[in-house]
Amino acid sequence: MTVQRPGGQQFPAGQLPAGQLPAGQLPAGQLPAGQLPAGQRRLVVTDLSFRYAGQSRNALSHVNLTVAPGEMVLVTGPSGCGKSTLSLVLAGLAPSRVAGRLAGSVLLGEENISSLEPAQAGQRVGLVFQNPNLQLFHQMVEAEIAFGPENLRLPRQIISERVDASLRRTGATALRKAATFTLSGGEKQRVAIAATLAMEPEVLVLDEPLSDLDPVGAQDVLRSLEALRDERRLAIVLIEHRVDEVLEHVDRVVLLDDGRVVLDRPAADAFADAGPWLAAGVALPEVIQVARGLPEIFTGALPLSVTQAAAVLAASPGVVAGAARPGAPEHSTAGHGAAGGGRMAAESAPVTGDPAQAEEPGPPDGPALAGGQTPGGERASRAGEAAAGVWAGVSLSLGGRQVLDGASLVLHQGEWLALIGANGSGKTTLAGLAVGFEAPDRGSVEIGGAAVRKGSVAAQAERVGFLLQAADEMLFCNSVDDELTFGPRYRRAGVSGAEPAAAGRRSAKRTRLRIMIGSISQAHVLKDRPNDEIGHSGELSQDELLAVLGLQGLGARSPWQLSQGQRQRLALGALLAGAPDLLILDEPTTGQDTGHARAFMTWLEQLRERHGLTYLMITHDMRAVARYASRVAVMAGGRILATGTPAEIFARTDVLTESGIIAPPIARLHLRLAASAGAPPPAAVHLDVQSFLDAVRPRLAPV
Amino acid sequence: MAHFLTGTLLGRSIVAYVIVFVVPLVLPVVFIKLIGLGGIRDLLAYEPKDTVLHRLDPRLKLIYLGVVGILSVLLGWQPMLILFALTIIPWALLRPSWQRTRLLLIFFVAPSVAMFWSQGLYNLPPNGQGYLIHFPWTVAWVGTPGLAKYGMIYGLEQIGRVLLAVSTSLLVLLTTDVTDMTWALEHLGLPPRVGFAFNAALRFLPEMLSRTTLVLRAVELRGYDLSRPRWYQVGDWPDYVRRVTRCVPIVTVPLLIGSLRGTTTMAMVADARAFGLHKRRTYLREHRQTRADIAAWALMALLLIGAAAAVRWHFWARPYGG
Repeated sequence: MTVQRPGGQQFPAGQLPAGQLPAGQLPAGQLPAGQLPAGQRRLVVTDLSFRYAGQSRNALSHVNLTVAPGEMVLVTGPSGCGKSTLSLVLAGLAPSRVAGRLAGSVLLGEENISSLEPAQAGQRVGLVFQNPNLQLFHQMVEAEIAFGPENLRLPRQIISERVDASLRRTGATALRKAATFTLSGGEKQRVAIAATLAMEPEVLVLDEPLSDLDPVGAQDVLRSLEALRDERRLAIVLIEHRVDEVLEHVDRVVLLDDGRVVLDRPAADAFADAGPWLAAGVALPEVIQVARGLPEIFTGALPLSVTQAAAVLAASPGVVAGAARPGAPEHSTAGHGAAGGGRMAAESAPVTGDPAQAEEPGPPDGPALAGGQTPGGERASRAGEAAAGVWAGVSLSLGGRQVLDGASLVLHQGEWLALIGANGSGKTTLAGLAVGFEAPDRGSVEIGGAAVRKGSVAAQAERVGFLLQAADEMLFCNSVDDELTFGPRYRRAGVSGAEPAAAGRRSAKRTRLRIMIGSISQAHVLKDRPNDEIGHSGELSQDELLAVLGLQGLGARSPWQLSQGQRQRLALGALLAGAPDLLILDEPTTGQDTGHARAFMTWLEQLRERHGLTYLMITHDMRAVARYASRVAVMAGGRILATGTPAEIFARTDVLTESGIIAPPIARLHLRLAASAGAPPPAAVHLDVQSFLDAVRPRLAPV
Repeated sequence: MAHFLTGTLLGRSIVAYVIVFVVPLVLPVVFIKLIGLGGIRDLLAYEPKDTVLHRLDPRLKLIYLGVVGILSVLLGWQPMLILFALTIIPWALLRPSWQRTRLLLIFFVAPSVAMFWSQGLYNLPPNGQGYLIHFPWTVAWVGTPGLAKYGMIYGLEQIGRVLLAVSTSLLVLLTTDVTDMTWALEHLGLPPRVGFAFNAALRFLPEMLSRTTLVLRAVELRGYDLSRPRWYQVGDWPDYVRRVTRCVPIVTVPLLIGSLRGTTTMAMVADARAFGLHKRRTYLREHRQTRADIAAWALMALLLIGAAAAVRWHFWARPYGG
């Protein structure tokens, strides 16, 4: 079957496809709240291919997929693999609203979703988009959720019941009378889901619904989805990069790569063969990596969660006897370990939990771990030098709200400081003071020893590169090449911002890039070298940079033809043209698959080490914090709650709870094992799989 | 000093240039500085409260808005000022926050000063009399012989008319949830699409303003200098104006593209939620007439009758050209 409807197609009244009731006359609408029909039909995708208009390659190729009622399926894969396209097709929006050529079929029971108008398809398959802001039309939550049923001309009583039921099912009842612009990101996402549910779909498709949420907000949304699946038997297709967080909640996992389904298995079986994941460049969840690293213990099904992994490890005699205390004294080369109880080495270097002392440098070294490794210690050793930035007791009110409340922080040269906290804790505002977005009401901010003046953003950009979370808004040019040369062009032109000469703009790609390379190299590496040599310095060639950014061969392409992850990498690449000493990274891994995110972060790490850059990273990605940050500052309520190495901070359950943070899987696993061993909580935890395995394996030998 | 400013060509020229250029140069800066894009966003946002004004029939409020708009044109300036004074009373009932009141005052005063100034300079007295200040020949190129009382009075009238409409519009915007407005529009006979367009515009205007702020920040973060010179750095101002002007096409691209991409998603969401499936919609909230509504309808009827009489029998009505 082939359908091509570039502009969408209107069905004449009374000529709806067979088996379809006119909207507004749905039997569902006549049922009382709480007794809405559960999903009964399977969503069956057969040999589905889709090619966007004007493109030469298929975005989806021969996709086969079945989702049963009461089943939650995770669809994941690298950026640009076709996940979002699949969501549009499943929801009946492509090709009716997104021009393209579709082959194959999407059937809900016997009904062909692709042949329905979106209004009708929306009552069968509901789609929740990534950005909740674009899905909320109304100022009040209640009106937002009622919007769909109102369009169906349902009676008032039914609309009210649907609003009640949708809010209840998403745990958003308390938000009913709230104004949408006052909601947090997680709340907005739940309202968007509730508004979709009010259409009473049988299938719910969510396109990266967790991307902007803090870990606690993400878990809230996931629990809501579980409830919908279990109580309403809703079929759920969850498209996500954050496999670690999602895995324990889903029934099946589908891996897409290059528009094709390369794996479709039950969650418990999805990682039995790592081949497809590695080939697609998607990292295995950390609990899976632990299980695969300890085949002698994980002899049954692979664990899907920290709880499951901890249960298996705790049941292992060897682990319980000793290995449940990774980093125990006998394996510590630093000799800081407490005697017994599995406490770890860094007890002697307490985390600064007192906000009044929070500006003090954190302990120089992380915990000593098994095998003599000190995760975080090597990274942290770069810190403790001169201050790259100092926030001294800053307070700030915006719009009548106290956003910052006496926050103090010292950012040391050469360190990678992660600033973490729940949505709305003041992270971005605090970082924004470093470039002069605002001036504090109280306190002071110094960058590189100089006070920051409000409004001097361009001047500060010479020293501080700020990658906004909305990286799309940082792209202004017609091509990737032009983006990379935008900063140098305007800086070279002086403060007037004059356009470069036409000849300059038309100059060869290599020449333009040399400007950018020159900027980086001149500032950090090649100060004394003539400009002509810079392009051949070998530090960063155009192709290398584009390759690291994952943009090789795309120099002439418009930034708007790139995927979101690609655009984000481009925005950061363009910022580097300013040769900043300090980079502020606001959610640098958002929207990127694990493979690209890791490549990008590793590149950042190399860049930092090579050129002595300092990073301040605002993030909800705790795995990135664990892996890359040398120090962590935890924010809550506009204050710095604690600072310390990642290993120490992620051991502080009190701080994490107060700040709405969930530690990365390995850290939680360590804490669970310590708890199951009856030991007091460790002062520092393992952060990466390898060090955890290194700590556990020696204890398994006797077993 | 006084003789220098009023009796010499140089002094008179300085005074004239100050009068001509201070307002157009300073006012926009003051407006942007004190209100800014964020201020406009806050100014237009619905203020959820439980007041009589909030509970009134939204149809009544929309009709009232239209009636006041028409009367601001038809009435002579004395009754128009009385009507303007009457429209201030509901603000006391609303009791907006100090922050919003400050924004409102700036929002009202800045355009008023601009209109007063422009009419005083360029609405010339027909008989050539009544100038408060005559400009010397050195200022002739700006196109006005001086500052005239005639134009200033006319400017005051126009300010009253504009403020009357603006005050009423803001009052309705701040006290009426967009959903209620959509309901009112449809119950006044307009198709749902009009209500939806209105709804989307009001909902996404603040978003657009936020994005504009964000994009301007992004431009600066990429090294484009948009910092304002100090008022006394006269030589830097032309360069600043040039930089701002050149920035417009730069920020327009991401704003437009972002808006279009957002609009595409919004359109798909609206489609998926069955918008446009039927010619008429049902509503969760249906307004029921209250005593307050009846009283308000009666007051508006009185207002209309009075205005019609004024126009019909030419008392308090606006004379042609007046």
